[in-house]
Amino acid sequence: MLAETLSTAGAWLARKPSRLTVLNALLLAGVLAMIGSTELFRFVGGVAVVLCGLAFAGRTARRSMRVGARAHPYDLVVLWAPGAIAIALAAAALMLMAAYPAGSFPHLVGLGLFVIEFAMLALATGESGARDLPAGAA
Amino acid sequence: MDFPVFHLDILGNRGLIAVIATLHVLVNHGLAVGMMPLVAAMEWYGHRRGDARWDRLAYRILFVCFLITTTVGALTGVGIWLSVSLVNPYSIGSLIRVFFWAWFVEWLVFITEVLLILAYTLTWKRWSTGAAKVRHIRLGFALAFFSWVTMAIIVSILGFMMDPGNWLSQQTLWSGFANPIYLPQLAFRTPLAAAMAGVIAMFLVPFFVKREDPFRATALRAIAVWTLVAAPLVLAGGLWYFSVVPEAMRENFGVALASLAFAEWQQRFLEIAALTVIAILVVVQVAIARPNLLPRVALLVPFVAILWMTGHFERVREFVRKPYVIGSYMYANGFRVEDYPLLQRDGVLAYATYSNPLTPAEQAGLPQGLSEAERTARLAEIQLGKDVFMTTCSRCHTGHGVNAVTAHLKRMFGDRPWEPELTAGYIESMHDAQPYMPPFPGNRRELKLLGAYLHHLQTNDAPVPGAQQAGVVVVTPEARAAAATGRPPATRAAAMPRTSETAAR
Repeated sequence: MLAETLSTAGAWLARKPSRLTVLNALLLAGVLAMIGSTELFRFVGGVAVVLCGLAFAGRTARRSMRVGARAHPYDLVVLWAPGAIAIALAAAALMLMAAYPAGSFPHLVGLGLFVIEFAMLALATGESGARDLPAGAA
Repeated sequence: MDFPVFHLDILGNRGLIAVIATLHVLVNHGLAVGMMPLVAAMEWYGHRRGDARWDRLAYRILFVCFLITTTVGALTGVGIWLSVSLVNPYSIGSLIRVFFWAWFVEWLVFITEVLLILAYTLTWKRWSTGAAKVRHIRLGFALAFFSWVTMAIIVSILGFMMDPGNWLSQQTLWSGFANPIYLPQLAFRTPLAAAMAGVIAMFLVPFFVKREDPFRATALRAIAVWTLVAAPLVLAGGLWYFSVVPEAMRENFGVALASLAFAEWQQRFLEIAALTVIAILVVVQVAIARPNLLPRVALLVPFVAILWMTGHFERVREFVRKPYVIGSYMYANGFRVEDYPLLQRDGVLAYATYSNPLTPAEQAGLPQGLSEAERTARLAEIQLGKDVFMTTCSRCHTGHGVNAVTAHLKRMFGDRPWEPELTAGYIESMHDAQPYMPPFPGNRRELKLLGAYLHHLQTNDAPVPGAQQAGVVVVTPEARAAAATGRPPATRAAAMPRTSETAAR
């Protein structure tokens, strides 16, 4: 029974790689939240965002340079915006968590926002290596 | 004091203006100033790509804007000036004298804007190909330009009311127009309008493009980019705007955000505002990265959030300029700063053209056991006190409704008797403790009359009617002189008003 459930869940996760990415982000935030140390959350979460952000920036910059002058500014914004917003909001989430005591409403909002934005950043980073420019570029 | 006093005792005069003005700003910024360039850009983009889907979507959004701007937008636009003229005719009088030609030009621009939106909407299907389409797109951008110009002129007047700048010494149209707050406020409102339009357009897309149509994702993504580009400009404009707001006004922020009783709410407001911005950014982000995953209900979040934020912004802007209605020139009660010495010497009743008669309901609640003569004398005193209240307080305060004087007095003095000496003593120096309150404009005798009236309000909870309900009484010169000095008129006839003008009761 358990094996069957796990097998179904595994198949469901494998159908779309993004599901695994989101799950990983959830697990990371969940573990950090359970430890209950804001400083540790800030440090590990911050490092994760920085590493992921650097990977996103590097891949997206390469992609932008590859198309060069052919790319329309609109298409470049579409490439850069999801990851850039995710970095900014994930940083804001960490600041929110640091500014308010654990368990308070703003702290929980920060936690939720961090999960969403870290997942969005991971997805944007994953896709920035594979995705073509949106249809109609240049 | 040349006009009868219009007064709403439940909603309050400020509430009337706030409802109309906020509604107008939402329509004007979101559906005209910001939306017209977006619609024209969508039409241009569709024409450039040969993609008729952009054209169809742009037309449908335009039609919604056309319906709302030409009805609600136009009516509330006129309604603002009508309501403000009723509530504070002196400030509007001053603004018209300063900005006459600017307003005249704005009227011409507004008429042009109305003609353009009519032409733009009605020729959409006829001018749909070749050179006619190009002409139509130009029409759209011309409409966008004229929509912006109307705002650009009115924003100058709004800035002037906050800080007239050099106009206080030079008193020319140009010095008033180019006030210190004008450009920063325009730099803030222009991208704000664009961002609002983007959020509203995102909200409308699911109504016009089916979920299974791939164009829905394309349109959502493009409009989200539009919103995102405007967002940092809103922030930059907002910071510039904030930096030029005079220090004295910034001190009013805490009270402006809610009301006196909720001044501590400022911190909570800032937190909610930050959450609003975050919610808008998250929705924009998902609209760009995963537009297909965005449910219609999620688009409600930024839509409601930006309406809420803009409403609060307008409320704050209106309040922070207190105690003035025109910075350093005219107090919120409609009296000019330079007239204060004269009024505080002679009293405001000495220059009052009209009296605001007590209704039978307002005459109730007098102490028991008064003789007829005492009752008459008490009512005469309350009548004069009411005239002082209507002239000096009622532009902002009600008797028993929103922002009621009775509520403030109850908070300060509780249920103990509000003796005239008690309230008069407070009112005399209230502007020192609460810098958003103007100094009392009348003389010491009027302060006591006002105190007597407020004492009466403690035991009389009848609504205080405005001139539109109770009518007015024209004060004779003899009665005015008597009111000013406190001495009874020489003859009984002179004590009675010569003329009464009463509205339909």
